[in-house]
Amino acid sequence: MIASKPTGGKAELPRLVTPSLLWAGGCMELELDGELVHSHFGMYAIKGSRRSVLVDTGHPSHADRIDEALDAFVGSRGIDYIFPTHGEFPHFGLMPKWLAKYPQAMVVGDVRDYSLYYPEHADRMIQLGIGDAVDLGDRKLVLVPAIWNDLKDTLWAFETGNRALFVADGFSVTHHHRPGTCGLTAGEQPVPDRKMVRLLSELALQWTRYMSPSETFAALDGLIDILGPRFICPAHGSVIEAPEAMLPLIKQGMALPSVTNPPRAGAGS
Amino acid sequence: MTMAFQSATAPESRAEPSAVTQISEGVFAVSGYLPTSRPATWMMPGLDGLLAVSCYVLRDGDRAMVIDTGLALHRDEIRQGIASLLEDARIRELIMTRREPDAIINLPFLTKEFTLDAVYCGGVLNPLDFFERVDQKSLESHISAIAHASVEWATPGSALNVGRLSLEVQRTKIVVLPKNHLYERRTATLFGSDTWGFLSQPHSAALDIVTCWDERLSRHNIAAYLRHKFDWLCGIDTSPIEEDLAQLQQSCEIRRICSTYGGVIEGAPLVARVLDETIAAVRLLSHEPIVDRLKGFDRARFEAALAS
Repeated sequence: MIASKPTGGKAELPRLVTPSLLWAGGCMELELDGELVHSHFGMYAIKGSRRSVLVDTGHPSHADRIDEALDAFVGSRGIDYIFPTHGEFPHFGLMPKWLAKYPQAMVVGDVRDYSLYYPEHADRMIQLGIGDAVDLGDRKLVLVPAIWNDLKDTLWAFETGNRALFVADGFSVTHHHRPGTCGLTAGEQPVPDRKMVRLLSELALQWTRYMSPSETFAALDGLIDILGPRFICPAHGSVIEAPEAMLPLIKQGMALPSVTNPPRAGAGS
Repeated sequence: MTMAFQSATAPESRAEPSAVTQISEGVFAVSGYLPTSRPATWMMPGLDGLLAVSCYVLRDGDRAMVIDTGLALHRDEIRQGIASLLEDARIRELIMTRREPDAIINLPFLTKEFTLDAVYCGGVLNPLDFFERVDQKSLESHISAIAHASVEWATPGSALNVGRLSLEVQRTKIVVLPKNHLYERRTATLFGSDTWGFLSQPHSAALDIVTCWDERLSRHNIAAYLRHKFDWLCGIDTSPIEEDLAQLQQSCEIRRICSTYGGVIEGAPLVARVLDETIAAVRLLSHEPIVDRLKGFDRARFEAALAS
């Protein structure tokens, strides 16, 4: 059950997924075949009983609206931790802004590269790895392996109170949507087309052009089995509130032959 | 064998700081150095000494083109080096090989302090490719927000002129995020971005120019680097990647490869051998198992994290 409701089939960001989980950020808007089309650049905030954390920092072009959303969500309590899922600008580019706004905040995650990019903030970075956890009071954010990633420093994370799995660039299947529907969850939208799932997967994660993502499903299933998520929260897609229903559809789509690197005639069997 | 090289033919009127190494006529590296013991995700384990992280400057007449921006940690060296190289340039432009932070993190201060006339990125302007356009719009918005600059898109196959120098944009398949190699035709220099980023050196006097074969250039060592940086190559059908590298080899004469990380591979015969070894390295990776992303993480480790 999502804490806030869509109105007239529409919902915008920010959106409260649960009272302790905020989905914020925004979209890029483009014209495609004469129609306006949106694409998510999301981020999340989690409010624990004692501490709060940002999952990704948001895109600089959405800085002001994220700022307002965070003020409304955490107020004067502020943010204690910033967890960029990886060092790609849409995910960690606003780190300096949030470090300035929240002087007590520390950056956590695979931060090995970050002091090379923001040396002035090197003393506010804590290196954590898979299996490490950030204590928020009544819940934890546990860092888990990124089954699907691009940059090498990518980590996924699991928040134990909401049972929310944050998957960075993974699960970008609802990246592409119409204006006014940016805040709709996957379950509030039509079921994604399988071919579109395959295409979007390989455009978001280039390596999927050269292998069948089905090779990774055992690891994904293993992780899902351990964690049992109630929500899957991608940066470039809608919140998936019923993973058990959506995962088989996504896997069916991803298992299709590559669209951008189709199998060659006579190759393989 | 590796030999360090500092140009004996530096431009007469230019006093170069130690961060600057002349690579060829009109081609300069501006480098900072990291101890290889320093953790960084793109640092191949097992390297000795120092690893250079470089941006490059092409100069001819009154024109200059900066390629990538170096690390923020090396901002002072980069500032000093680029200032000396751009001092008398009337037209100052920049092109990025990748959109990753190690390639563009210094863009805000470079645009502000050096008044760049254009910032280029290689990319296909395909109005029907939604994702490419989303990626481009994201980059444009980002660069506009942090550097108050606009991005001009250079289509792969096109060339940007820097006086008599001509820089061609070439797409490559050895990528994590969108990336281009750049080829300067007059000097036959390939700017390989992070494709060959493993040649460390014992000193920081100048960027190493490797002119002779050594074991670091073997297929096994190149495979180790590629496995570290591009581990998605393991266990896949690498034939499209091999063909892409073979095409690179056939399409142009390459006299040197200049990388974001590490030393320069110098000399056409050495480059040809390295490309052969790279193709072989990619093929070696195709025989390895796909990386198990879940390795080392199990229910017990998750429960331990909850209990901690």
